[in-house]
Amino acid sequence: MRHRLHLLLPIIVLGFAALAEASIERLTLRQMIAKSDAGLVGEIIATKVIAVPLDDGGDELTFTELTIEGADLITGDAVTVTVSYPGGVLPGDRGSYNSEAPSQDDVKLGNRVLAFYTWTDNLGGGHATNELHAWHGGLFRTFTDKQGRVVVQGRGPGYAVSRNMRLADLGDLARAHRKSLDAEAERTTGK
Amino acid sequence: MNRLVLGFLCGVLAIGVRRVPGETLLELPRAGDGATLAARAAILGLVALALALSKRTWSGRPGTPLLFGAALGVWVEGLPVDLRFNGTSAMVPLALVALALFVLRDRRAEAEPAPETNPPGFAPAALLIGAGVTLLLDPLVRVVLRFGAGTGMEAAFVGGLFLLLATFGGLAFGAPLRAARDRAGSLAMVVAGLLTAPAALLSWGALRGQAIPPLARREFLDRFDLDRSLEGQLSVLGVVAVLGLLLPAFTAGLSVTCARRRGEASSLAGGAAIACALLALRWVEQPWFVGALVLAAAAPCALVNARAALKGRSRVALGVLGLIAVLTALPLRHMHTLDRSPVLPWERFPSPPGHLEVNRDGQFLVRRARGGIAQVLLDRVEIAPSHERAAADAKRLELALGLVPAAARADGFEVLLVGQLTPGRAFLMNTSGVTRVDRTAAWWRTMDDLETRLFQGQTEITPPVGEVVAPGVAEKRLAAGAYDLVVVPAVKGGPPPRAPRLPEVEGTIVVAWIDASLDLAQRRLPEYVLVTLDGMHEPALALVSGLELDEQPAAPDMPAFWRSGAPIDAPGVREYGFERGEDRDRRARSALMRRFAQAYDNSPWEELTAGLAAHFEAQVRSSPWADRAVGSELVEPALTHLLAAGARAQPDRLTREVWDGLADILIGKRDVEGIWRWVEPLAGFWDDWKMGEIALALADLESLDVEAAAARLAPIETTPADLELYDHHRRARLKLAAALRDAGDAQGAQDLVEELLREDPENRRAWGLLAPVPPEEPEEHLAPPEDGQDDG
Repeated sequence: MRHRLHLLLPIIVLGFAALAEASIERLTLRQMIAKSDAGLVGEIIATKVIAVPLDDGGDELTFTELTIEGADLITGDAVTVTVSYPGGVLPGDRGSYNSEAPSQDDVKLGNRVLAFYTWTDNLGGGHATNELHAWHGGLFRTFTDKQGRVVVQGRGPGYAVSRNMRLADLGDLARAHRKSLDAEAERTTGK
Repeated sequence: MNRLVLGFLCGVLAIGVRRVPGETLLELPRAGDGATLAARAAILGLVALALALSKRTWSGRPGTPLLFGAALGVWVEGLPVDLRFNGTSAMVPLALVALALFVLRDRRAEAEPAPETNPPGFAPAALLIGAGVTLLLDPLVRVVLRFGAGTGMEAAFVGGLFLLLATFGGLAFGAPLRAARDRAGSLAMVVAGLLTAPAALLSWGALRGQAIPPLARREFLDRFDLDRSLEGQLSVLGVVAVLGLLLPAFTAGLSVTCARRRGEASSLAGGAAIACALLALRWVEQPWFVGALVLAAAAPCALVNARAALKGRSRVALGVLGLIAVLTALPLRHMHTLDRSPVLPWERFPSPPGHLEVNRDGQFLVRRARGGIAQVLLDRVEIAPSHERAAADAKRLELALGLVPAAARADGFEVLLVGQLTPGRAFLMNTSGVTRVDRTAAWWRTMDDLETRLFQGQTEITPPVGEVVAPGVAEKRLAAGAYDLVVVPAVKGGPPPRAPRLPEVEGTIVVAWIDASLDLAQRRLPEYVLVTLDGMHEPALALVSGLELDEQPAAPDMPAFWRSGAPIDAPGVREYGFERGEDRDRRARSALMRRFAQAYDNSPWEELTAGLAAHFEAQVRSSPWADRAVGSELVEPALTHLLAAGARAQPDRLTREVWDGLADILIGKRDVEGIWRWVEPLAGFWDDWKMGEIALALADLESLDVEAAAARLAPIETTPADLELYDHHRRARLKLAAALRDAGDAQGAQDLVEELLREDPENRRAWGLLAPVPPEEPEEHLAPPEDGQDDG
């Protein structure tokens, strides 16, 4: 088995899951809430890179796992979830970098983040996990301003959180979207 | 055993004589190889003499142990890094003495030498073979060495490997030819030598097909479980060297093995010496072609001089092989096209190919990058900076120009640039009162061509008055006091240079920059050096003469000179042979900062040096998609020291530079809490810290306090000449304009946008803010922002 660091272009990404090119899904907040299982606001309490061997005996796949302890964005329930995304580097130059992964600054231990995730039975190599939805597009850092309010840092147009918002406002918006989506689903089911 | 010892001494001498960058000031960017070749020619001449005089050591016995001994000598002397990088080795005079004693001992021995069984007459042919093989190998070895990292130890590695392969060739093929040797004298020596011509042709073909094209190289390396990201390491260099040198090594080794007479062995070495001398004098433009012809001439030479020893079939064989060598010369004549094939260094994100020029100075590659800035590589060493390093280069040059006294600057002053003139450097000098710029360096013969190419298409920047001169001429002019300033820009890559002794000329200031990514921590340095950083990314130090070197500068905008401290941390073969380039760069910077920290333990610069040492120690390899800010590690111990260093009302220039860099990183990371924790206290100490105020304004915008951001940005004034500061100021104002618009203050946004458009009418982002806010409609896919894209 070859263990080497692939530092070349997004060709790496072609080895993973469903994407055919190096880009992520453009989503509004409403769409993110619709497509993901949940959003979680909390602190990254653990990070780990794991290697999953492929059945054909070829190269392994690496995944980064973040354990986040906090509260559900919509319900406020306490929850601890481990989310994953493809890519990650192990000692000895094993693994690969993923161009669509959150940056190292985003996933530092102790960071407080908002993460959207979706369960998948197979993120790659048979690895079943809560996938960080849209990878770096599903993770947003937060900070506390001088008045003690939590602010979620937006990533720009096309991202679920495009501009900075106070968490309280974002939570309200998320709940409103959830309610609307549930009502829509009921109407569709009722038909 | 005697031949083994003799070979060992020859190997030490052959590789131990070398020039490294920094032997003289004018060789700081790059060492001229003419002197090294000339010295090697002299050494080979001495070896030839020693072989001729060593009656008992050589006569009648194969030369394979000599080859093996030479391989050992080359590796023992050439691979240990701390020996390697200090110019001509101290082992050379010892080896010369040992060689002399060896020859004396040999001649004084009482026993009679073994009779030389083979008939004479092949020595002249051996001379031609030695010369021809050396000429043929020179371009092959140059191309192979381009696959190394340019650290300087590759020559020893490849040379030793070649000799080892030659040993194997002699052992493997020498035995079957034993009967031929005995019967036909040294015919086999000549035959083997002649076969080097087609062997070289095959090697060229192998390199051209499998190693030079990037895709083919990837497949080739894949067979050995290697990949292109390991290029520059000895593992990759080794397999490429075997590919390119195996066959010529076998034939050359066989030739040496079959040289049974000491006259022949001596002539082989003598021929090699002559070839080295011709190459040193640059009298051979196409060594591959000339080498094949010289080899071919060995056939008629042997036919004439050794006819008594040759029977009918031998003569025919010799004639045929001579003809083959001549015919080989014809395709070899076109090898300049292969020699011109670029061996591009591995890059995470390959740059577009550029213009390639290959000549005796080396392989030059001129590539246009972002912003129209052209990078120039000379055998993988960056002699004109890429876009990434252009700002750092400009700051260093500006600093050097600023050291010239104001009175001299007002009247116009003259500069000697030891390095490559670029439009950026010319612009700075033209606008700083420089009236004449002479240029020189080891590659001076190619400089005019490079300048023509670099200035092509430039309408606003012209080369300054001045000329390209040979180093000898520059040295004379410098000694005569013709220049007010001598500046040596830093190069990136190559072996760590020595710190040259700077000339002390009345009225001349010398500033010689060395990039901190070259292992300087181990070097002997002058007592005081000038240190600069481009933010926190591109540290460099400068050797300076012609000025009072003040540790505590008189004014806040003056640079301070740091004590260089004692050498530490000499890396070994493992670091140089098997480290990735970027890892080596990080280690070198960290070691240098640690050296400064040790020099300033318990003294006024303690906090700053300790902070920098901790910062550079903390840097690790990052994702290739991380930009400079995101890829930088900020650690609390470093920041604590650096905050303590800055906590006074009048910071010096370097401390400000450090904190500008840290603020830049914190902005890039969008680390709002970090800005409040580390930048805000200092902004309270320092008057007029624009970078700090911009960082705090951006933090206000992130926390949705638009009013506070506007209040901070309002009094700040910058101009494009402020480079990155202006860039940050512009981006901050764009973000403020967008925030004002979103908050409903359309007039405030409009006023700000108009101000930005007056500064730069082509600012796309500003124009975009004048348009109505479009509704957010999702598209199917969003390509993430590209690295470095202007985000406002």
